[in-house]
Amino acid sequence: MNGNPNVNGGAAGSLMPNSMAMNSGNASSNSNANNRNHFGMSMVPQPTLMASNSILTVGPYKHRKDLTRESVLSKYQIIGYIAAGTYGKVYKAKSKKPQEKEGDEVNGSEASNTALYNRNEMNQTAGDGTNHVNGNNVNSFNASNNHPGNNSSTANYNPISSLHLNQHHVSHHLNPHYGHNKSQSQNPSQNQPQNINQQQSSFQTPAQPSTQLQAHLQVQTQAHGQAQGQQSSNTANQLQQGQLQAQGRSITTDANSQAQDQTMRLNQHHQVPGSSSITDSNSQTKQDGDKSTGEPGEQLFAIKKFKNDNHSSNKSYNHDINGNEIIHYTGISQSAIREMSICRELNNKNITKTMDILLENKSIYIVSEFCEHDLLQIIHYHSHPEVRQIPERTTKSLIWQILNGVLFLHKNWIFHRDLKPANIMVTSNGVVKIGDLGLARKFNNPLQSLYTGDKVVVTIWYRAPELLLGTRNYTPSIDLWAVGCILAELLSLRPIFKGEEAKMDINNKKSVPFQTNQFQKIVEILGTPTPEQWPSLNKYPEYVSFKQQLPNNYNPNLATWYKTVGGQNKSCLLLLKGLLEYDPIERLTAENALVHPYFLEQPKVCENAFEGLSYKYPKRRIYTDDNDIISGMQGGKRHGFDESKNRKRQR
Amino acid sequence: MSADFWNSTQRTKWQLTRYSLFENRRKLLLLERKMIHNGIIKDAPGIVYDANMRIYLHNLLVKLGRRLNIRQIALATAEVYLTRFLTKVSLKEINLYLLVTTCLYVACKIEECPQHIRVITSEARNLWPEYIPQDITKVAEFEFYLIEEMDSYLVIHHPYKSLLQLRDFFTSVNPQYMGGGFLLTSEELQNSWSIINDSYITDAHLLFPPHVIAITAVYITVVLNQQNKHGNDGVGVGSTGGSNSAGSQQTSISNEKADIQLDDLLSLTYSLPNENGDNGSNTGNNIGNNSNNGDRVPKSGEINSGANGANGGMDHLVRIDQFREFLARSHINLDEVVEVLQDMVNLYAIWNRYNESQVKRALSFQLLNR
Repeated sequence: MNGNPNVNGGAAGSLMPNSMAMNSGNASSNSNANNRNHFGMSMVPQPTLMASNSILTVGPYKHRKDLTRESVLSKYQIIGYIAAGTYGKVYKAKSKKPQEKEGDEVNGSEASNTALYNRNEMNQTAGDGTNHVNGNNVNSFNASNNHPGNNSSTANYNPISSLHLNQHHVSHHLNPHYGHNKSQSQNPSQNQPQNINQQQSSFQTPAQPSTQLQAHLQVQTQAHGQAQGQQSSNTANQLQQGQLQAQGRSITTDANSQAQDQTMRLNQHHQVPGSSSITDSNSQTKQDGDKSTGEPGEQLFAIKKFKNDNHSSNKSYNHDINGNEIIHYTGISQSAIREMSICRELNNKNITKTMDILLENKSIYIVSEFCEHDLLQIIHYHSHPEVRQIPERTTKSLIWQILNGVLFLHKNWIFHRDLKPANIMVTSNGVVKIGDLGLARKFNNPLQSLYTGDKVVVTIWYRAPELLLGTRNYTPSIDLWAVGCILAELLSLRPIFKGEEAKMDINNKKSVPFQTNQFQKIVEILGTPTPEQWPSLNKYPEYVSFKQQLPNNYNPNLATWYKTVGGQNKSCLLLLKGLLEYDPIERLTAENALVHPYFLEQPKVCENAFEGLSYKYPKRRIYTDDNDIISGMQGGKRHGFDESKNRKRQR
Repeated sequence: MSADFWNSTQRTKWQLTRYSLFENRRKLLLLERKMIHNGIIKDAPGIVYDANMRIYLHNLLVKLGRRLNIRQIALATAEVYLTRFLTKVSLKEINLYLLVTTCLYVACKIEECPQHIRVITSEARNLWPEYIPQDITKVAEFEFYLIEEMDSYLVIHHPYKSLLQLRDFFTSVNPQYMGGGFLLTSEELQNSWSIINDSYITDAHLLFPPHVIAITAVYITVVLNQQNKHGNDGVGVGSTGGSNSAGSQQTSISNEKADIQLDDLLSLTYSLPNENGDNGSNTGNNIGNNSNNGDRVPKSGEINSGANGANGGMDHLVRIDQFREFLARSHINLDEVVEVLQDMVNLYAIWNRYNESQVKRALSFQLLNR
């Protein structure tokens, strides 16, 4: 038996509740089959032996975790999905629980573990063979919701409660439900002020009339900078502070005293991490201002669920039908794991903030803030039914914020590699949030060439020329090219280089085709690149194909293009030129672009890109035909969820 | 943030204190006992998360990493995952071999040198056939639990970078300032690098920022080893062993090297005469070794500015002084450095008594019941 541990291992992982609870008498047909199999082999059905077999596949541990895990459905209520793609789906959701069982968290693992065994016993006495782990959690969670301490905040529509909720998120992040939250309350985490700052900003924004708002947000950014400056012993921090100063320069402000005020308050936060009363009063005042807008204080989330296409999630439940498993699961994809790890580290105003990451039943859910708009949708709104230009101020503010987010990424040694209008989210307060970091990766100290990792990066229309020429090692400047394309698209309301993608040869996946058509579109507007303009041009792997496929010489034409799309501003054209520079070395960096003269002249950049607009962009479309975020994971065992799903559909 | 340790989740979410770590482990023991009591797991004598076990785990990881030719950074990340995971999970409820495999698998992805799950599983199976299920879904499944247990905080900052930064700082800085003029030879760099490799066996990476660990490694290399070499007992060990190992392998961890370190430190801490045959009784060879080093300098293009010249003894004292000067002015938390140092010395002391077969047997009993 020892020589062949897989026979048991095949099923033990997910059947642990059954195979371990040998004295409990709850056994589904699956586990019976499994047990039979098991006993037939070993002939000695001793508990210890069973444990020792399941332990090879980490059975006892998985069982313990599965019982205590909170389901994504117990935390969030799915409103509908907003996007679907090859990666999976993005759902819109709101939080189900105003306040989490903080008591449990403080008590740490001990409490939850005792709970585990109590619950476990409950299950066993109930003899409920089909009792689902998650369903179980939902119940137990609901029970804890009725805790008297939480009553004040159970009403979702009370704005104060939403702030509670928000605070909860801070505390949740700070105390990763484990014993070591003690250490953290002793040394309050440095990113706390940032978190609070962001939250305050998100709540203040609707409350302020537009002009005040601008100043206000600047105060916050400055406070943010200062809070960071206090602890900066480190270059990246200083750089970021520098960036914030740059921000201060381009948007004139003299709200320093206020900023200090704010910082002081933040410090207060800092020093009294445990005292909720102070935090509460502090935030309540903020919230009071919010009420006037009548905006429901409900916080919305976007939950990205990664499709687990190639794996056998149902195997544990239907393997007795198939007998053997043929589906191969290859682990979490590189893209998903990048997104998870990078999202967890990043905290910037112009990057989608990740609130939570849930792993449940082999699915990954990345919970982030919900943004009502994205650039694609805004561009669409302006081009349909008839073309109406996006106001210059809006364009400028959007691009500036995009650059700000990109700078932050680059300062953190990350390039995005998939910047395009669809990935640039905008909140209803006109704040840009760069999203979808599925192609993003760290580029400091790469262990292997960037090309080895991903042969093709960036959506074709936004792909930089050096990438089209097959470069093996590229720089963050590829992101700036994409920003240039986005700027052009905001000006003209259609993609500037709308080439057709040459499809990859299915039989020869190793070779990447030369994107003739895409390059053609680029040279038609920017002119054929010359060696003077781009000294390393002939060093690129695809240089020969480039010469062969595009023999005609085109003259630079960007100024004409700019005129035809109705552009008048000279410095805007210069910025565009700087971003769409052929030579990646000459191309503007995010840092330089941010202080480009274009941003220094009137109209000034606004923190709220929508400021002064007389219209409102339509809200994101929600599809409700599939609210079942869990689906496909449970096999035949989702009775509990089907119910809730139906309820939602009727609504 | 990913470029910045001070805002990283490693610091804000995963930096523990001795006390909280102790608490975690205590709770884990309670949990373990409860599980045993309830018959969910069986008691496995000899499965304790002590230094012996940790050295064993470290060796497992290194072994698997070497077979796959995995880069040091990924290996180090895997080690941190391992320690993090085991602050929350009891050894007795899991299969450590599978855990090691999974940690390495995830670490490779995070460090952008992904290995196919099939390759990694089959290599692990070659090493430990009776412990690794053939079914790759077991690793894939475990991956989720591993990531979940770490709360998806996966980016790790390592002392290697700090070490290189320190070296660059030493070379770049004005001699008049901050103990400049002190240079790290490539041999010393290699030595420090190896000490960092070993530091993953301790809790240091859960407790201290990477630069503290890096500076401790430099301290052990420069001050302790040299003191040892030129100390009163006159047993010259470090130099010979150091240059040998530095010459042989640049990036891998080798047990032999660890042994040498260990001997150095032991002879230092206990002032015991060194009996390691390899190094010989080269009391009189000290000067010879040093001039050897001096000869190597121009060849390998080291930045060693002749500090290891013929009159080595005095120069070393000067260098140590320079390094101390740097430490004193560096604003590095010396208490933390001392703590790491203590841990490392303890580790090397225990390593001397390391008993692999004992752990192996215990694990075999736990996992295979034989």
